[in-house]
Amino acid sequence: MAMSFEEYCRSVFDVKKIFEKPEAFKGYTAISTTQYILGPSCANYFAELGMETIKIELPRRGEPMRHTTPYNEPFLYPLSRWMPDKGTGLGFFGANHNEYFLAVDFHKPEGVEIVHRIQAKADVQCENYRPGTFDRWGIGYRQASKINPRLVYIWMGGFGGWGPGRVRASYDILGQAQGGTFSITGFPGPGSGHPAIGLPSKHTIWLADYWGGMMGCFAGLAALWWRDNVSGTGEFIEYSQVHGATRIIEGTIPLFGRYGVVAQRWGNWDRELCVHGIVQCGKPSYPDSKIMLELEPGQILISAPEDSEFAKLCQTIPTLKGLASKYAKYNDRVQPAAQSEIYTAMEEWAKDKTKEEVWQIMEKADINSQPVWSNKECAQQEHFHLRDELHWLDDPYFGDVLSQGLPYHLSETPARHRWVFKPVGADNEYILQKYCNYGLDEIRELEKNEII
Amino acid sequence: MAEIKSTDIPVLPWPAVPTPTPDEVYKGLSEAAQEYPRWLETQVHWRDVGKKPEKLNRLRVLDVTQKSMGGHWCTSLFAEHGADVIMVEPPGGDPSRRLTPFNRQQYMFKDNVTGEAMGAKFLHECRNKFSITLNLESAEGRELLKKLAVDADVLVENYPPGQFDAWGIGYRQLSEINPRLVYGWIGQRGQWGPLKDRPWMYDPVGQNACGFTHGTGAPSAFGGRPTRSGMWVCDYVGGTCLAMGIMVALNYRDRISGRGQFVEATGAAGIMRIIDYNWGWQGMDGSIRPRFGNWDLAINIYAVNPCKDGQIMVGGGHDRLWFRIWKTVGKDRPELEQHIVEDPALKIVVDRLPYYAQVETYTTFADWFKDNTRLEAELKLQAEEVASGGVTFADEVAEFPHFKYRGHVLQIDDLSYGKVVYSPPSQLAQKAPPRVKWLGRPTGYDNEEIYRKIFGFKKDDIDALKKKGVI
Amino acid sequence: MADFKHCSLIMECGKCSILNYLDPFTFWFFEGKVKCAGCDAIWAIKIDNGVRVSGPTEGKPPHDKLPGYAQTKDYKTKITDTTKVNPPVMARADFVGKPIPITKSIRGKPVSGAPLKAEDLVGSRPRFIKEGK
Repeated sequence: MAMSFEEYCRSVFDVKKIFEKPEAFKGYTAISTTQYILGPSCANYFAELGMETIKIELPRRGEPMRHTTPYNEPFLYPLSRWMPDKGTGLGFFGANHNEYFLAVDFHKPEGVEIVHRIQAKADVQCENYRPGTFDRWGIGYRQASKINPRLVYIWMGGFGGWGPGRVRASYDILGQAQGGTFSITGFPGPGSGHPAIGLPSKHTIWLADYWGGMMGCFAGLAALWWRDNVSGTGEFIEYSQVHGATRIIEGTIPLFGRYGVVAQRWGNWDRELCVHGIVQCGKPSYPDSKIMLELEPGQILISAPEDSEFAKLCQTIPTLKGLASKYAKYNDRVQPAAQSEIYTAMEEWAKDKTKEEVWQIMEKADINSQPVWSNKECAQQEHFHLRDELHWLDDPYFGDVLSQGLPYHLSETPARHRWVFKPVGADNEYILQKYCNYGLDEIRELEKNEII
Repeated sequence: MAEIKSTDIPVLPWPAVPTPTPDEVYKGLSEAAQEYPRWLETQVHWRDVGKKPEKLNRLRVLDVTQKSMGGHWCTSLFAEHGADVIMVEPPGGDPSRRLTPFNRQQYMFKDNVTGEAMGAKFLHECRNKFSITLNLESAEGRELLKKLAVDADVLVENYPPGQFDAWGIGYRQLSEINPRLVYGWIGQRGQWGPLKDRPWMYDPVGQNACGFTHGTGAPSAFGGRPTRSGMWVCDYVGGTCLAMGIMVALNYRDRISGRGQFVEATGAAGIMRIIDYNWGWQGMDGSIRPRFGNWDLAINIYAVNPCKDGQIMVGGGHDRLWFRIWKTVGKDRPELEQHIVEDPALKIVVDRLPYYAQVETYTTFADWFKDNTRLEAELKLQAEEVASGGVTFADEVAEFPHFKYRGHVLQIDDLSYGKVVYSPPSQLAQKAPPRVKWLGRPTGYDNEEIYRKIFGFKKDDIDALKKKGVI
Repeated sequence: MADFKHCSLIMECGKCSILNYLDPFTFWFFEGKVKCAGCDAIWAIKIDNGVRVSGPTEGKPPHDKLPGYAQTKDYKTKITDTTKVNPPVMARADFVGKPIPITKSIRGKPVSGAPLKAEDLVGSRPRFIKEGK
């Protein structure tokens, strides 16, 4: 074929052509009655696919994540046209792209009416209030499905809407803690044979939230497919993030169930593969930096799990030469004591090198490796910008912002980002006109009565 | 094939403590308060999934991935929703079947016909799938894959970038045979671009390349260093992204275009999409997301801290919860409550975020934790309606009453693997829920059936292919 | 003013009465000497699973660790000098800890990261973004 595979990929996934291609869910409408991250992120994945996604927040201050930002430093202004001197924190950043922002107080009957009018026209609703709350307010699945039987209603929450723990509030790290991801992440406790000691660790990203949103989105996409191609009817989906955290911990549950084995932590090495671990390099990559983080020693993953790869690695790293025959076989190499010996020898070798120097040596030796990059280092990689996994958005409200891109590439109907988010209530007029048939006076009246 | 015999596999009793009954769970609640959860329970209970239809049972998915979990996770989501998922493995099976912690053979799972051992990690993502073997290194094997693709809706592969294309079985070629095919590729950094994957890169390559490892773990002030996930988390997140992408393509195909697409997802991009505010923050003022242990840069109180018998999470990002938390502490240790609530520097929510404010908060909090177990602390905080919960380990997860009741953990009586405790799909649904029907299959278990069914092969054809090493 | 002498992780200095915060990650299991951030006195202390089992008894330099943070009981003096307490976790060299006005992104283009006034707006949009200047 004339075109190489690389060229072919670059052409079919060309990010410059994204806006020349159709959207998979043009004309669909999603409602996001959500707060924090779990529900919002789920709705956001629909918004990236071309659904007109209406985020309904409480008037004035909006949802709580708008007031969450790292160290209370960066904010994007204005919070709303009524509060130009307040801003939205970056906690709101990753979970609200492309959405339309309507502020409605749905505790009030006029607010309920607005929600009903939108529900009548919607395809998807994401909701993550406490179980039963929306039902009590008359805007839950039982009421909405009567108005619109084709609605796919995704309720997401911590412990689920039924069962002994249903009343417990949940947050991302509570899900992680109770579901089991903490128990296998981090450096082990004393006595494991691992030289480093540590506590169970969280996944620093709000994993159970953001990834939970993805799981809810997948179920929603499957429900839409089923509705549009098979059944013609909507669906109710319940997603518990605590359940998700248990679903994702690999073989941990079967191992306990069958053998009573309680999986523990194994730091930066791998339980199942060796060599396949993160090695500390003694030298920092930026010795002149004023940021303390950049003065820390670098870290790099070195991966040579097959016997032949390990042999090659031993040729490359002098301090491993003595271990080459002792640990030539996978079974010998993967034992905890062997791992300790091998990685210690590798760190001895790396102690006078930066992670970039080690990376170069590994690349030259044809061995898989990957330095541990900070977000700053990632942001400097041409690779991610070329692939639209990171992009500078010329946001119509907030200007020049660096944003995450799309989590997958589609050759025909790529997802896309238009804006990061908007101020509270920015689309009140547009949405109330389009979905509720309200005129100017009615909208003014609603605003005056603090419904919107 | 030998007759299935029930073999005596020693199985630990599960649950060790009986699951609570509905009447125990809802005891003491008014009828009105019981109505919603009881109704919900009847709509989405795992007990009833067998009575309901499946969403994706018209779809056939080929899982041509090996050596890592991303592809298998992706196709698990389809298999749970009812798609016909065929794992196409190299003869001898996917090497990741044999992965078990520290290669401990005694902790493998054997099927009761061939006795072939499978690791727990693979077993957990083998659900509802068929297994056939096919040698893609042989021209004949690749021809068979093309024929399989004729009637497939989805193909997922994770071979080195361009490998399938060079073999004549990439998207370019298969889409000519079957324009309706949705073709997915999954990797760590990508199959194109300056940092495209080298052959057989596994997680945590993705974790390191996206800023995840750098931001996870305790800061060096606490004696920590960058920390990878204990799971192959990029495989799971990347696999979920690929599944979303494929589902989008299927929606578009069946509603509008009639054509499939080329879909690509990677572990690094998957995590980059969901790694909070890292990019916005970097772009605004050049900040580097630092490691902060089990504390949070953007919320205080929102952390996991050590307590008497382990670690415990407490969350309360806003004022109402803040004062309830300190009220709880104050019942045992009034001086600690007083010390915090009277501190002028901690009066306003946002003032509690700076590093030293968090050290003050959590050190004071931990002085209360040290006298409380996870359960004691949780009950005391619950009395004030504060969300909290201990860090639980596998044994506790498997016996957690709420999880048993709701089926976050269930036991299956699998035809091949006997009684196994596992975690079923985390998305429940009212009308057509996902489910687990069988847990796994030994390598090539379905060769006979699939090759006869799809290709009309006779016994002689199958034997001949086996002899040539094609299947 | 409360007395903290019986606390485990809040170490009230026997000499200068300053409160030294021994953060749980560093000090949950600890046996060694801590230097008071207020008066540089050295205190030997043993903490086991968060519980102080011995100390503080006065010791001689050198110390093993610095406290995580320290302040006076009336909150008026806060010690954040990194020769006295553990260094903070920082995202940049110039840590501020309160809203910082940002008008240009790191590549020098306008970004709306500073408080606005009503007259800075066109609809909900900052005028300078809308007008490109």
